[in-house]
Amino acid sequence: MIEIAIATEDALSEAVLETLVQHSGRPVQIAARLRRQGFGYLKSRMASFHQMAQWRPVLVLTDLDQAHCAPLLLRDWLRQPPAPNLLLRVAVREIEAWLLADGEAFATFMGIDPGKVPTQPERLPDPKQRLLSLVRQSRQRDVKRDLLPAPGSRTVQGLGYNEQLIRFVRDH
Amino acid sequence: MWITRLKLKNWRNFKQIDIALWDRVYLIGPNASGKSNLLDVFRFLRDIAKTSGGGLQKAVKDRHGITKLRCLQARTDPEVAIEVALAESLDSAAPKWTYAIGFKSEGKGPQRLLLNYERVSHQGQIVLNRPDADDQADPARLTQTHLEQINANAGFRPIAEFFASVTYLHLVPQLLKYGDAIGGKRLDDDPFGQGFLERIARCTPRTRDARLKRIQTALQVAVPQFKELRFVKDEVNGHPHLEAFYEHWRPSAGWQREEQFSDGTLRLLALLWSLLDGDSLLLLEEPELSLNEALVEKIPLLLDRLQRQARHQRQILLSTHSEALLRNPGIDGRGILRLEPEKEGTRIVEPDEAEQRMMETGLSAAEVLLPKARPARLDQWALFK
Repeated sequence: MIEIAIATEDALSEAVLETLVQHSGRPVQIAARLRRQGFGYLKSRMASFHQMAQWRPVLVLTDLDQAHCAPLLLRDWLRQPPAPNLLLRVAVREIEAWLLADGEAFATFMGIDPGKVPTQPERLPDPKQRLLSLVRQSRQRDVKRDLLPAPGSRTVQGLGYNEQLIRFVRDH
Repeated sequence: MWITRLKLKNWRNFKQIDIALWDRVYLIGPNASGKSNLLDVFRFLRDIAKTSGGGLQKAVKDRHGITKLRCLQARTDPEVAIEVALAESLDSAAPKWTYAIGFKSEGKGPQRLLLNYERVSHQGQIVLNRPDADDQADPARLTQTHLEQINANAGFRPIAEFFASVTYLHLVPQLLKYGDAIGGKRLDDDPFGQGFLERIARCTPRTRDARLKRIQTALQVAVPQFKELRFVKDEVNGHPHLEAFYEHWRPSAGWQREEQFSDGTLRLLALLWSLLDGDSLLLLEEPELSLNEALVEKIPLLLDRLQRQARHQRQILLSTHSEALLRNPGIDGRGILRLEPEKEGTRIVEPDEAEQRMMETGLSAAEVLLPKARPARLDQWALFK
């Protein structure tokens, strides 16, 4: 068993990496989960990840967000040639696009028409907004209530946004 | 029923406030800014309205008299005033009920505590307006509210019952664990210690078992190796106890009593119980204490999910210092009230337009509002130089 560390910017991304590692079929075990809210922490710790990668593989996942393109982000973050066991991966634009990529499963989970899920989520300028607008069409009351802001509230998302999407990641 | 508005005058460290309340209210602010004092308004109304041992005089006396209760900044105006508006739903434009009292010391002779006024309105109609002719004929009547009198509050019984069933929780694990050793006087409906076990004991066995079962399921996830929870009465003295069974311990270790629970387990257990107990206003004092941050982060969602079950729908006011508790970007900014101590008493500030717009971009209340709740000049803080 190879022990690796994963570093992510939120609980949802962490769940996605866990699931990917689990389904990779490789003899890999996650021995450390590094996470603070937001990408700033990841970026500021890149030097530590470099050092760590000398003895334990490190898999880092961040969102591209509004940055211009992934190669530029990689160059900006890595500065030096990465240690062979430091893997930095970038979700274009953000992790929500990866969830939408499994259109059929997502449609089933939300109880919506699969035809409505965009087929090329990486081209979406704001995958999270698109995901939320799909949720609005959902017939699942509890899922909607968790994911969407309360009526009248001015927040972007609901209180159970991460919990519901993590459930989707793990179960589908 | 929901309390939609609260107005205070000269209440402890609030000289004058008028605030809107939502279904979830998070009170933030530096130490001694008045978070507990604000929660105490609702305990005060409960203490007036409760059917046994209640009443205005007792409620004020338990708070060490009006001189301690009255705002220090109230120099010329001796009156303390409270007004609440209650509605059946948070969306309704006009309140269903309003209840208002003003009281002060008599200012002469025996310095009795007297009502200046007591007013109740129901759907805009005045139901009670004191002092009335009877009060004028017999001023001693002004020592009591009609709220506390069964034969006088018939016209507004629903709000009397609502106030009487307000629940306050601030479990101090050591009081529960060392209750017998500490001994001493216990408070009425003691929210801090032993009273908690008695509250569980008073429940019908069926309801109790159903609730403990749900709590057990929650604790199995939250507390490693926790397996079972049960309620027992001591065979010798009949005192109520909670017992837990843990996996992987020596099999002979058997059931552990509450005095062996960890502080966090006890606090979490009490929090979960209080959420399931009753449907009136619930006041929580720093629910984050002793809990793992990952659990604290889940509290807002826990409260929201509870809200969806008609049986447990209730308004919750909580005070907090916790970054983790306010980290969820889904928290409705309207429910966050920041207490800001000033020379003329504490101000209560709702998020302004700029702050709301910051939260619209996905920033959490912890990021936008909590830094403002820090004491000013803390960067210079040190005990030793």
